[in-house]
Amino acid sequence: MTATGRVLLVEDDKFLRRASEASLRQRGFDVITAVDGEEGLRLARETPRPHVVLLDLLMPKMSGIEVLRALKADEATAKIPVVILSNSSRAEDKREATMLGAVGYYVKANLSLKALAAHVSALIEEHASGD
Amino acid sequence: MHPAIDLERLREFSDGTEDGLRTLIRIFLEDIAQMIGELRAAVTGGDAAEIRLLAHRSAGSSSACGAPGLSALLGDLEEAALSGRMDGRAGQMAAIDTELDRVTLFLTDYLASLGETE
Repeated sequence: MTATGRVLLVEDDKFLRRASEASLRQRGFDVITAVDGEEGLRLARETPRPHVVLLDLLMPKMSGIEVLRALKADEATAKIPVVILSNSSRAEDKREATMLGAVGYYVKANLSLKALAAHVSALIEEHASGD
Repeated sequence: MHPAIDLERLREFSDGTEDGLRTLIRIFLEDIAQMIGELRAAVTGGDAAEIRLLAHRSAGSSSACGAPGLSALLGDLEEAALSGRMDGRAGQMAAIDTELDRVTLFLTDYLASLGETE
């Protein structure tokens, strides 16, 4: 399967960042990466904007929740689908992210790179058909 | 004793191809050693905030890759750093190093069985 689309991956865990990036690139996505929340927010605001943001929660400088709030509060980035990648399986963390506008929430201990790529592909197709 | 790696979980995490699995294992072996090296330095320095962040990060990688024992030990250290219980950190770090050795040996052998020659 090959796909096209620009994915912003905001993840401070080097291994998960590299593994996810390799998997998404293998499927044809254009992947840009950020190592903390501040860098992620800056890259999300740059043009061309990403079609999808994959966002860790616990990161240095700015948490994923703070990044999510900022993205959704800005008209220029509010419509970009955000998928959370987190170590936390706590229902309240998932609920908070969903209430703030995240369209997906993956717990890293159960994450499948194959499923993640399929989800990203579906979100990009959905976004394209809605334009 | 639990297995160092839950192979079913490792395969589930991968992109479903053998090449992808090889790539995943190579990246994990490179990065987990580096991350735990950084954690060891933080433990020596006694910086609780840094220990918490590095342990959290390494635990996430380990759980994603199917290393439950390593992830649990890292989670315990993260919890200890969060609660300020830092007196046993040297012993916790030694246990993490021992488990990392098991994980590394297992994955190196498994990679060889997949035909990895590098």
